[in-house]
Amino acid sequence: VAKTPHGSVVKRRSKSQIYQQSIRSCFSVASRLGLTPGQTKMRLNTSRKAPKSQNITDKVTPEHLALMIKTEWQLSYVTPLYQFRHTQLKSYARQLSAFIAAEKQQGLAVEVGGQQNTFKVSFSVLEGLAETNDDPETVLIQVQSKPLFARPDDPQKTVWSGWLSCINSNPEYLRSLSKDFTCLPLFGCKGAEGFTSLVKDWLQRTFDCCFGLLEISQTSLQWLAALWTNCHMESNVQSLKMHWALPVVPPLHVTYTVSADDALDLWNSVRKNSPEKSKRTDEEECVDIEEVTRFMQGLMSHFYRHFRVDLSAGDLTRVSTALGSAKRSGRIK
Amino acid sequence: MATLLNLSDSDFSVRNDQSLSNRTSNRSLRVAEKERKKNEAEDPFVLALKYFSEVEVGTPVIGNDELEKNLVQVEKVALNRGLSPEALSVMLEFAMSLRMGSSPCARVLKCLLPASVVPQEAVVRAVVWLSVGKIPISTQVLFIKWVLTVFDMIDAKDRLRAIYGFIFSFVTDENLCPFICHLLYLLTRKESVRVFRVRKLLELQSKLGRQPYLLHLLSLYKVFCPELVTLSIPSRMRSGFKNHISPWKSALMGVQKRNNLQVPSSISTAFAGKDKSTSRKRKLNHLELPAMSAVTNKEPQMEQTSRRKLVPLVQIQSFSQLLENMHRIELPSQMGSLLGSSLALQYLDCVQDEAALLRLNFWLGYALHEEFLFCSDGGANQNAGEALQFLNRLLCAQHFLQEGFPSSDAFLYKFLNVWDGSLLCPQILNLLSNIPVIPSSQIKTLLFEPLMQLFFTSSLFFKCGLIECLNHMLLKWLTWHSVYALEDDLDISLNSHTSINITLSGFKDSVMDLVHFVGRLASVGLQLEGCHSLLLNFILDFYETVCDTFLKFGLPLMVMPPPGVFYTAFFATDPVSVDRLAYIMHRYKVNLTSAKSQEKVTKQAFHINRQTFRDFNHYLVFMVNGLWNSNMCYTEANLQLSEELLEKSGVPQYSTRFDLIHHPAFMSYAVDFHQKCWPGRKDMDLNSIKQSKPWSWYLEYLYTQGFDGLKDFIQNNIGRWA
Repeated sequence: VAKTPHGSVVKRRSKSQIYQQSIRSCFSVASRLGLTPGQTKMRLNTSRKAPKSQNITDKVTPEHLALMIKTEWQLSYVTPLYQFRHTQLKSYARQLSAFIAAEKQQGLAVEVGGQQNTFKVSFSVLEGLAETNDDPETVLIQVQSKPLFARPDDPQKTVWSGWLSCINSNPEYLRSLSKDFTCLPLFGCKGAEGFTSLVKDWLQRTFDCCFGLLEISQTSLQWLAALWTNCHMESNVQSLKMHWALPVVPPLHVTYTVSADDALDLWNSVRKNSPEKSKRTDEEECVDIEEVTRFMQGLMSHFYRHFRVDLSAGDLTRVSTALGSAKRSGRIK
Repeated sequence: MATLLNLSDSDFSVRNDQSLSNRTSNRSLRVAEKERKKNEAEDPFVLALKYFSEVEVGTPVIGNDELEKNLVQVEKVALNRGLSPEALSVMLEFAMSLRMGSSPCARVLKCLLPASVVPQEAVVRAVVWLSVGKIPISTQVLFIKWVLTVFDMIDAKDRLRAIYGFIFSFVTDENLCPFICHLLYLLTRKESVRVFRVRKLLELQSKLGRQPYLLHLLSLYKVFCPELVTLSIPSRMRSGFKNHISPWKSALMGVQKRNNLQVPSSISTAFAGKDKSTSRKRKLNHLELPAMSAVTNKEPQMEQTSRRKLVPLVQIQSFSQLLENMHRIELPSQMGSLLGSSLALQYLDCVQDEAALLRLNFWLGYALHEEFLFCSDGGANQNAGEALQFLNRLLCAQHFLQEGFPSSDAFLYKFLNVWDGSLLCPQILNLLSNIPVIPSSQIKTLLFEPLMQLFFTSSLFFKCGLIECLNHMLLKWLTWHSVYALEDDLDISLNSHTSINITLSGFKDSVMDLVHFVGRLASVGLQLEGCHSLLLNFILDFYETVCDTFLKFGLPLMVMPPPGVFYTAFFATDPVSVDRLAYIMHRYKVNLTSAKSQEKVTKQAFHINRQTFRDFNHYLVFMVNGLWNSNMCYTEANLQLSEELLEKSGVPQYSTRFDLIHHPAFMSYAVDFHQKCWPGRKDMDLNSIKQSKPWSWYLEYLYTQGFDGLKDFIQNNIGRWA
C-alpha cells in the first residue's frame, strides 16, 4: 500500500521513535488513490531502507510525544486539503468549536468566535514530526469540554483528539500539486465517534477533502512484525503477538505469541546479510520483502508443526509488541 | 394635484386599452384621447382617489358617508381589476399616515390588490410611517404581510435594501418579528450581513428560543458569511417560512387572471433555492453529493471589500444570473456539489479553474474508489440504486462537459480488473467510452487485457455492448482529433485540463491499436457466437466508423477489417449485413482514392501501407466476382479451398452460389422478383434473371428494397466496367 519508498528499520534508542517511524513508513500514504493523472498504479515497495536516523525526542515536546505514544489511533486517509494554511489555525479553532456547538444543539444558531462554554477546540502544530523538508508539519486537533455541572474553575477535559500528518512523503507528488493544496494524507483520531464524524465533516466542508478508512493490509502487518522483531536488537520488545482469523465455521481466532528472542533468532536466520556484517561495513541497512515473507513462513510452519493448523489459509488481523500494535481495521498504537 | 391627474391618466390607459381595441380602429388617436379625458372627469374612481389623496387630517370617520362611498368605489375597482401603481401609492399613503385614524387603515390595506406592479417608493414611505405613526400592532402585522404577499410585484428593491437596517430594527418587536424576519430574508444581500446583526439575532434567539423564522434568517446569513455564524437546522424545521395565510391571495389570483397577467411570482417561489432536506440514511454516504454551501475558509489576504462582492454559487439560480455574475462567482466549499447542478457545470466549463477541477477530481476519485474498490462487505449490492444514480449523474456531467474526468478514468483502469462485466454494465461501458486517448505504450495493460478477459467470458449482449462502447470511444477520439488537430498539427493536448501531450503519430498508433484490437475481438467473438447477426451488426457499426477516418475526421489512417469479419459479413444470411458490408467497402474505396489523389497533389509523406491497398483489392475483387460475375474464386490467400473439396460438397455450380441471385441473403428477393417478372411461369428458373434486361430490372428491384449500400457499391465499382 505504501507509496513512500523509504521504509525504516531504525536503530535508535527511544522506543517511541522506532515504532512511530516504522508505522509511518507503512502508512504515510501520499495517495492511496493514485489520483494524479500521471500516476495510476500503486507502487508496492519490495525493499525498505533505513533513513538517516534522527531523534524526535529532541524536537517534539514531551507532552505531545506522550500523547502520540500512549493512545491507540484510528487511522484514515485524507485527500489533499484545499486552502489549508498553517497560519490560520486560530481561526479554524474558532470555526470548528462553533460548528460543533451548533451541531450538538440542533436548531440553535451559534456565533463564530463567540464565548463557548461547552466546547473548546484547539489547533496546534506538532513540530518535529516531519522527516523531509517537503513534509508539511503535523497538525494536532483537540476538543476540550467542560462537564455540564462543573464549577467554573474546573479544568477542561480533552474529550477528543486527532491529528493530520504527512511524514516521508513522496516529494514528486507534493510538487505536482498546486499551491492551493496541502497534503496531510494521514489522519488519526481518538475519542467519541460523534466527535470524529463532526470533525471530519467540518474538515470536509472547509477544505474540500475526503476521508476514508485506512485498512492496514496483510503485507503491511507482516512488515511490522518483521521490523519490530528487528528492533529487539536495541530495545526489548518482550514478545511478538499475532492474531489470525481463520475462515472456518465457527470462525477461529488464533493468538500466536512468540518470545522476542526466538523471533529475533528466526529473523536473523532469514536475513540475507547478517546485521553484524552490515554494521561493520556501515552500509545502509536494507530489508527485503522476501526476507519478510520467509520470516512469516518460518513462523507459520512452526505453528503448523505444533498444532496442525495452517495459518496461511487465514488472515493476519493484528500484530503487537511492546513497541506498539496494529490492527487490520486501521487501529494503531 | 397635478401628479394625481397624471396618475389617473396612466391608470386609465390600462383600462381603456382593452376597450380601445374593440372600437373601430379608424378613429384617430386624438379622438380617443378626447374621449378618455372626458371619461376621466366623470369617473367616480378617479374622484375617490382624489378624495383619499386630499382628505384632511382629523376628518371624522363615523357617519362619514363620503368616505364610505369612495372606499366602496376603490374596493370595487381593486377587487375587479386591481389597482394601478399610482392608486396603490395614494391608498397606501392614506392608510399608513392615519389621516383619518386607524379604523379605515386595515380595511384599506385589505383591498390593496395591485393590477401590475407595486411602486417601491410607496412601500418605502409606508415602512417609514410604520415607525412614526401609532398604528395598532395588528395593522402593522397586516401591512408586513401585505408586503410579503406582493413582494415579487414590487418594481425594484434597491431602495428597500437601502433601508435594510431600518427594517431590521423592527425585529425586536415580538409580534412583528416573524414577519420582519421573512421580509429580511427576502431582502438580504451579502453586504447586509454584519456582526452586530448576527449578535442581535442570537440575542433574540436566546430570548425567544429556537424559532424557525430566526433560524431561517440566520441560515441565510450563514450562506453569505459562514465565518460569522454557524448552525444546523434539524430536518423537521427545514420547510421554510410558514406560508402565511394572507387575505389577499385568492383575490390577487382572481385579479391576475382577469388581467391576463402572467405574474409568475407567488410567495412560495422565494424558497425555491432553499436546500433540500438531505436525510442521513446511510452511514457510508460517500456517494451522496455534498450540499452546495458557501466557503468558510477564506483567503486571509483577500480584502474585505472585494470579498463582499463575491456571489456564492449557491445563490445563483438561473442562467441569466450566472451571466450577470460571471466575474465574481465564488465556488462552493465542496466541489462535489457541482456535479448535481448543470448551471455550476456550465460555470466550471467556462472558467477552467485548475484547482477547482482538481478538487472535483479528488472527491470523485474518493467516492468511486470507496464505493466500488474498497468496499469489502459487498456494499455495492445493498445500494445498487444509489450507485446507479451516482453513475448516471456522473455520466450526465461528463456528457455535458463532453469530457471525462481524470479520476474516473483512473478508477476505470483499476475497476476493469475486478469487474464482473455485469454490475452496472451500461453505466460502466458508458463511462469507458469517455476515456481519452491512451498512449500506445499503455493501452494494452490498461485497457486491452482486462477487456479481452471480460469479452471472452461474457454473454453475447455484453460483447455487443463492448463493441458499441469501443465504437463510441473511437468516435470520440476521432472527433477530438478533428477538433484539436485543426488548431495545432503536431502537439495536441490530451485533455483540456491535463498537460499530457501526444503527437500525431502517437495518436495514430493508439487509434490503430484500438482498431486492431477490435478486429481481433470481432474475429474471435463471431466464431464464439456462431456468427450471430446482432454481434455482426455492432461490428459493422464499428467498421463504418473506421472506413471513414480520412474523409470524415481527417486522420490519414486506413485499417481494413480482418478476414474473420469480412468473410463472415459477406457470407451472412441476412441481407442487411451484406448490404452494410457493401456500403463499408464503398466508403473504403472513396477514402482510399481521395487519400491517394491528395498524396499526389500535396506530395506529403502521408503514406498508406501497400498492404492496405492489397487487402482492399483482394476484398473488392472477391466481392465483385462473387456477387456480380458469378465466378467465386476460392484460391485467395485468405480463403483457400481445394477444388476437390468443393466438388465433394455436391453443390452444383459452386462458383455461382454467391452471386446476387443465389446468395442466401438475396435468394428470397430473387424468387420474389422472378414471380413478379414472370407471373405465369410455373417452373422457377432463377438463372433466367441473368439475362441482361431482367438483370438490370432485378438490380432496380433490389435498390427499391432499400439496399443503398449495395447500390453505391455496384454503381461505383461495377457500373463503369460493365
